[in-house]
Amino acid sequence: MLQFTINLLIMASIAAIVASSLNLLIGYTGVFSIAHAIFYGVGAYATALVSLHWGSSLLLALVVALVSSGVLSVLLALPAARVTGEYFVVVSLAFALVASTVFAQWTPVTGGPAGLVGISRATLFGIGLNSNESYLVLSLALLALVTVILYVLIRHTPLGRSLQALRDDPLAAQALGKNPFRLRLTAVVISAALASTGGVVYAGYIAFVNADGFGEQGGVLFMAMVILGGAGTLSGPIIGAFFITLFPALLEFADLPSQAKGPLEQIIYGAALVLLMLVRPSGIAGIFSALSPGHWRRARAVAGADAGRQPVTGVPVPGEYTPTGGAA
Amino acid sequence: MTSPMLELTGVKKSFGGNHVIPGLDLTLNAGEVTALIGPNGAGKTTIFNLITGFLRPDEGQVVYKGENLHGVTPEGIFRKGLVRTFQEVRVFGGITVLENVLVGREHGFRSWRATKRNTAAAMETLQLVGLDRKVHVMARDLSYAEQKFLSLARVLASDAELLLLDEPTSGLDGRSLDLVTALIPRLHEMGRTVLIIEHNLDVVRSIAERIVFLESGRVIATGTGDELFARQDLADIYFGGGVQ
Amino acid sequence: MLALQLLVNGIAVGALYALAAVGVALIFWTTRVFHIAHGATYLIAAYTFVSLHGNSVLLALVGSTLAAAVFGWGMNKFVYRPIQRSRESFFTLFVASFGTLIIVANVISLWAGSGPKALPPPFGRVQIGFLQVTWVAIIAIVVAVVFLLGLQFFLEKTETGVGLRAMADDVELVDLLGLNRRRYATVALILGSVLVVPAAILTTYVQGLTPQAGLRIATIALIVSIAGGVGSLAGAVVSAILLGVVENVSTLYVNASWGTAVGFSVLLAILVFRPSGVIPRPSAT
Ligand SMILES: Nc1ncnc2c1ncn2[C@@H]1O[C@H](COP(=O)(O)OP(=O)(O)O)[C@@H](O)[C@H]1O
Ligand SMILES: [Mg+2]
Repeated sequence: MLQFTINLLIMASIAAIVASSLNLLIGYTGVFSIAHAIFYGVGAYATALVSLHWGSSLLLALVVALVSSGVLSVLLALPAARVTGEYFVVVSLAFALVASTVFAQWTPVTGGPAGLVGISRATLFGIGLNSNESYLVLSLALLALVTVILYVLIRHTPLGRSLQALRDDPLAAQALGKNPFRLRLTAVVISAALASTGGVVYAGYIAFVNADGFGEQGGVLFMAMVILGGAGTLSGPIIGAFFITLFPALLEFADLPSQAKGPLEQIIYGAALVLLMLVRPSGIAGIFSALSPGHWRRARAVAGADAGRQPVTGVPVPGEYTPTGGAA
Repeated sequence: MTSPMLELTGVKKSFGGNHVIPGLDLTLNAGEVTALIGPNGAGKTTIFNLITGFLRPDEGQVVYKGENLHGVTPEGIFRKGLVRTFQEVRVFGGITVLENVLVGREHGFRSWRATKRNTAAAMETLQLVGLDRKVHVMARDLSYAEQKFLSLARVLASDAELLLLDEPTSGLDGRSLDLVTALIPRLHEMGRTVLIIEHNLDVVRSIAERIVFLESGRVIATGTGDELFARQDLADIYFGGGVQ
Repeated sequence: MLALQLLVNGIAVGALYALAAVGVALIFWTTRVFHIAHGATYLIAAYTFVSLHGNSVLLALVGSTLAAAVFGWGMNKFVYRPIQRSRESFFTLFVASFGTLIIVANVISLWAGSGPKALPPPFGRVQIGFLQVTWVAIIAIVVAVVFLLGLQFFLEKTETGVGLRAMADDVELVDLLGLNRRRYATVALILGSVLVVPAAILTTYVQGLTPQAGLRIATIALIVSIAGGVGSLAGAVVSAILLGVVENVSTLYVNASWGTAVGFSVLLAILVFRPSGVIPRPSAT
C-alpha cells in the first residue's frame, strides 16, 4: 500500500512538472499546444540513451534532455511565426502526430515499437537514487524547482510580463514594441525544455521507455490537466495533474473488468472537460478563486486572456493580417 | 526650420473597392501638438494604422526622421520612437497596472537589470495620470476611465518621441476629461511630439497648436484653431454628417 | 508503374479526407469552432454502419447518416451554443469539442471493443490498362466528386448556401444583413456531419476501423482545411488530396508506417512557407 501510494505520488509529480511547463504556454503566453507529451517523451528517450551509452548521471541526463527538447521545440515554434492564435492548436496536433511516429518508428535510436529497456536509476553527486523513496524526493524536488522557476519568470522578469501582455492583447503588445514571434518562440523553447525534465524522472523510475503515452493522447491529457486545474495560475496545473493521476487509483478499487477501466477513466476526463467548459471555464483553481477572491486573485488571468482575444472593432486585422497571421 | 519629424506623401489605402484614403499628404513637426479631426469614418484611425505599420499603404510613403518606414513591423516602428494608443481600451487585463506600464519600457535582456529604474519611471508616470494608488490592481479590475488613463500611462512611460493618441478622451467626462486635457500640454513641455485624434472640439481648441481636418480620407483644411473654427463650411461637414 | 498505382490510391484516400475536411471547414466558417468532435461524428457514422450493414446496407446507410446528423445537431445545440451564449472563447469551445471526442471514442470502445473492425471488401479490383484499381477506390473518387460538386452547387445557387458563404467572409456582416446566424450554424453542423458519412464508410472498407481513427481523421480534416487556406474549400480539397498522395507515394521510399507523418510534414512546411494556404481566398472586393 505504501509502495502503491509512493508510485502514484511520483507519477502525479511527473505529470505536474509537464503540466506546469505547458501552462507557461497555455496560461501565460496564450499559445495553445497539444504537443507537450512529445517533449516529455524527448526527455525520457534522452535519459534512456544517456543511461544506455554514457552512464547514470542525473545531471548529464538533464542537460541532454533540456538541450534536445529545446532544440526540437524550435521546429514546433517555427509555424508560430505565421500561424497564430487558434490555428496553432492544429499545428501542434500535427506536430505531435509526426513526432510520435518518429518515436515509434525510428528503430535504431528509439528502439521502435519495442522501446528501450535496461535504463538504470540515476545517480546524483555519486549517490545512487535506487529506492522508490529517493525517486519520490527527486520528483517532488524537481516539481518545486520548476514551479519556482516559473514563478520567478512570470512574476519577476520582463520576459514574463511581455508574455502575459502578448496573451492579453497581441496587437497592443506589438504597438509597445513586442515581437510576437520571438516571444512565442522563447516561451515554446523554455516550456518544452522544462517539460522534458519530467521525462528524465519518468525514464529512470520506470526503467523502460516506448512511444506509449508520448503521442497525441498523452498531449490531450496534459492539456486536460492544465485546463481542469486552471490555466494561468501556478497551482492550477499541479492540482489538475494530481487530480487526473490520482483519480484512476480510485477505479482500481472499484470492481470493474480491467479492460473497461481505461475507457471509463477517459470518459470521466472527457465529461469533466465538457462540463467544466459549460460551467466554469477557469478550471478547478477558478472555483477556489470564487470562494476566496483575495488569495487566488490570479486565477482569473485566463478569463482575461479570453477577453483579450475577442475581436474588437477598429482592429486592422483583415488585409495585412490574414487569419493565419501572415502578412498579405 | 529643421526637416519634419513625420511626413506622409501620396499615401493611399483602400479596402476592397472602398478607397478609404484616396491620397494623403501630412507633415508633423517636432515638438508640435497636432489634432486630427473629422467626422466618423473619415479615416483617422486608418491613418494611425498606416503610420504604425499595422496596415501597409497601397501607394505612397511614410517617412519618420528621414527614414522610410515601408515594410517595418509595428514593433519595429515602436523601437524607432513612435508609439500609439488604440481607439478602444486595450489594457493587458491579466497583469497589474504597474506591470502594464513596465511592458512598454522593457526591451531586450538589458532591461532585466533595470527593473528598479523602470519601476521608478513607471511610478512617476502613474502618478501623472492619478493611478499611483492602484499600481498593484489587476488592469481588468479598473474602471473604464482608469483603463483609458492606463493606456495613456503606458505610452507616456515608453521613451517614444512621437505619440499618436486615438481619441484619448472618448467616453470620459468631468474630472477624467480634465485630467487628460491637462496632460497633453505637459507632454508638450516634455518635448514630445503629439498627433491626437479628438472629437471634443473644446479639448482640441485648448491643446492643439495645429489642426488637420480630414474628410473622406483627404485633408481639406489645416490651420490653427482660430482659423478653422471660424469656417462655416467645415462646421457643416463636421456636424452635418449626423454620424455622431 | 507502382508509382502510378500508388498515385491512384493516394487520390482515392485524399478524396475521402477531402469529404471530412470540407465539413470541418463549413462548420468553422459558421461557428468559429475547431470542430475536433468531427472525429466523433466519423466514429458514430462508421460504427453505426458496421453494426447495421449485416442486416441491410441501405438500412446501414440511412442509420449512419441519421446518427451523424443528429450528433452534429446536438453538438451545436447542447455544447457550442450554450458556451457561445455565455462567453465566446476559442479555448473553451475547442476544449469542449475535444472532451466530446474523448467521451464518444471511449464509449464506443466500451461498447464495441477497442480492437479493429473490418468490413469485407465488397467488390474486387478492375484492371485499367496496367493499373489494378480497387472498386472501392473508384467509388471513393466518384462519391467525393459528386458530393463536392453538389456542395459547390449548394453554396453558389441556393439562398442558404450563399448565406453560409457570407458567414465565412464576415460574421458581423451576416448580423447586419439580418441573416440568422444561429440557423446557419445549425445547417452547417448538420450538413458538415452528413458529409463525413461517405468518408467514414468508405475509409472503413479500405483501412478498417478503430476508436482511435476519430482523432486521426479529425486531425487530418483540421490540418488540411487550414493548410488549404482558411475559407477556401478548393484549397482544402487540394491539400487533402496532396496528403493522400504523399502518404501513399512516400511508401516507395519509406516504410508505410511513416506515410501520414511524411504527409503532415509536407502540410506543416506549406504552412510555414505559404501561411495563407495552398489556395488563398481572394480578398473580398
Ligand atoms: N481593416 C479594415 N477593413 C475594411 N474596412 C476598414 C478597415 N479599417 C477601416 N475600414 C473602413 O475605413 C473607413 C474609415 O475608418 P476609420 O479609419 O476607423 O475612421 P475614423 O477613425 O475616422 O472614424 C470606415 O468606413 C471603415 O469601415
Ligand atoms: Mg477612429
